[in-house]
Amino acid sequence: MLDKDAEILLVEDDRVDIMTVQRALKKNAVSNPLHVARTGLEALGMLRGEGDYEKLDPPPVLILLDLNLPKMSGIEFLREVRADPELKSLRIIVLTSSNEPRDREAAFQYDVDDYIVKPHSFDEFTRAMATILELWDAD
Amino acid sequence: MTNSPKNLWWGYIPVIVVTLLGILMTFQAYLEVNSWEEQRNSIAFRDASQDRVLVVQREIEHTLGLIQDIASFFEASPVVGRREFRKFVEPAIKSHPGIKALAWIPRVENGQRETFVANARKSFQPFRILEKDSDGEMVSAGDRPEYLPVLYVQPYKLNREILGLDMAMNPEVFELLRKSEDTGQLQVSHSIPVIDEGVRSSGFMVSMPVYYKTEPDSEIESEIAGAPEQREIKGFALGVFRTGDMVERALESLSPGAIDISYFGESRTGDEELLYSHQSRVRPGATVTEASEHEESGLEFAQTLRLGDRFWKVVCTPVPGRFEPESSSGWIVMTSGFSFTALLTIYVLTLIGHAENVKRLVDKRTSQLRGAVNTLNMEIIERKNAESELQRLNEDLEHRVAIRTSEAERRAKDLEQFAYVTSHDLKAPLRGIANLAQWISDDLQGKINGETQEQLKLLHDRVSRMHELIEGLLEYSRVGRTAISYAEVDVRELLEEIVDSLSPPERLRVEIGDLMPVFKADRLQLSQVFSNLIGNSIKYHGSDTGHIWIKVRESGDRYEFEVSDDGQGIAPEYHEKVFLMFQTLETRDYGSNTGIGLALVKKIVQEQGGDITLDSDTGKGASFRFTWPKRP
Repeated sequence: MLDKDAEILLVEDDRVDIMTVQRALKKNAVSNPLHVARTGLEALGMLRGEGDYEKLDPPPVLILLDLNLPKMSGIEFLREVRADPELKSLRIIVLTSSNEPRDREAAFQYDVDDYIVKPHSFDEFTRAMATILELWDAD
Repeated sequence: MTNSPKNLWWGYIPVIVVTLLGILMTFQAYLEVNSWEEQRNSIAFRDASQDRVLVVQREIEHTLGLIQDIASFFEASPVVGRREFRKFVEPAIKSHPGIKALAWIPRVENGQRETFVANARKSFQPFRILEKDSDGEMVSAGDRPEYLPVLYVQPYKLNREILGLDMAMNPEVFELLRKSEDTGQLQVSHSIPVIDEGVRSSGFMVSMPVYYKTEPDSEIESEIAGAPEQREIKGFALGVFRTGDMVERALESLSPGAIDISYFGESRTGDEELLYSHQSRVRPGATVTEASEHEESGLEFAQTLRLGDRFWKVVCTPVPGRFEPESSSGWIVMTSGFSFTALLTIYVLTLIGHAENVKRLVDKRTSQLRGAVNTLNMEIIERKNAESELQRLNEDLEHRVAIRTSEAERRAKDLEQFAYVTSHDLKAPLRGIANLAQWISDDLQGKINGETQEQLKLLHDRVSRMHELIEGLLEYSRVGRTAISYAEVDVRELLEEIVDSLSPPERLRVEIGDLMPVFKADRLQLSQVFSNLIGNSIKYHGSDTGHIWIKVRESGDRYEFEVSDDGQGIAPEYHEKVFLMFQTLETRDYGSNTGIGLALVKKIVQEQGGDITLDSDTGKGASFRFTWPKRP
């Protein structure tokens, strides 16, 4: 089971999508703290404690990453993280609308733990979320 | 340039040269022939003349020899009788018509006159020593110390009047006799007139002294001593000759030679006088002769004849018209030469004319050729221009193609970008709407009336449909845009997976045929085709019970797959329409049918190099057949 205090970082810029994740977690009775970064830069700032951001310490046990982000895209974020010795081993799951093989390949190039296309329906989304957490749990 | 008058004249130089040369050579030949003829004639004339002079010389020598013979005869014989003398000279007289007289003239001293006359009368009774008196009458010779009477003379008949005549009284004869006595040699007189029966002709006398024999022993000595004065003269052998007859007799031995011969000797006065003129026997009237006539030809042959110690000059001249160059041969040469020259000139003229023609022809052809070459050059230039134009066009085309290609690439990129943007930027808000609608519906459960609840459901359905449309569009655009990856595909396994995922109703049986191949193909694309076709069959079967068959057969380098069903079928008029995008045969409200499926299938099949056909009719089920190429 997921440690109750283990923090999850969601990198997502769409408010409804953020709500969707929050709701899905709630519906799956997951109450772990969820940090939300609206851009890749913001997420990096939070992870490294740079700029106005307070460093997440300990680091989040899971990062849910959207790819289509302003300022710094998800792929760019992945490159930065994987190039950072302190951050490169973070567990990252891509959660995106894109079903493009291009994006899928690019993501797996940076050794992501899973690539999930956001399901259209909320129920499916919830199930997908549960699956992610169960997998993580099973690890 | 070749036709300028100057050059034209230059062209005729050979003609002028040939003509001049021809004329010169003709003249030269003419002169040569004439000269040669002259020479030949001159030689022939000289030879003939020499022959003539020679025979005359021989005759003269023979004549002189005759006199010497007579002298020897008298010297050898103490007594020569009249009959003996006649017999001795007769043969000579017969064979030599030029002999006027042959006589023996003894020297008789006064004291011996009577004895001499008496002896003479023994053979000729009327003999006496005579002399001519002042009237010309023959009288008995006066008393003189010595007499030189003609004792014998032959032929007697023509000379009887001189028999007994004392030659000492004839100055001319006496002079000759005395001269021969003085010299002891044969003497020839200058020319004398000879009269025979009133005919006067030219002649000459020859005298030879005869001495008494001395002692037989001393004879030789005295002869060796050569002193005739010391010997006593016995008498003289005398001959009178007619020059003309002698000459004619000599020339008888030669055939007529068309030569006139004049003999000149010294006259009594010492002048040169014509002794005899022989008229060539070829002359028609051989009598009249003019010396001037001989000068015409210019040919003359002169030689000296020797008679004892006297000389005759012989002048031979040809009969006019003979021994002259045959003018005809000269003229023949000249005519031939001129004719030949004329012919040659004409020939050369013809040649030049011909050459001119050829030259003109060559000029014409050359200019034609030049024209052709110019045309050709122009064509080459045109062609080069055309080539460069073509090259320019090609480059232009290439440029355009490049532009178009980059445009196409740009458009493809745009499309890709569009697809990408769509997949994220359209789907994300749509999902947001769907979620929000869901949450409203969930949160207000029981707080809103049934109509609002129904409207929220309709909203959800429309959003879902829009989502599917976007998904379909994305998928359609992805065909040919994504890299094709080939791999071994087990078709049976693939079909089973698809059927399983589609989960058809239990009583709708999907039967997968035998001999499904395992071959190299783009698994994703093939899967999409099959799942769309099978899905459609399930979706539009129209009944919960029935069959769906999937079959395959090999057709050359491709497989032909068939997906057929026993469903409601599709009317033929819609067969084309079903493959068009967004075309559905059902209402929009019915089911989640986007109308993209078959358009997508057709695009994939065509993209793979195959084709798809539909065989169906209303109520008779539908049969889709598509081909898929094998890959090595």
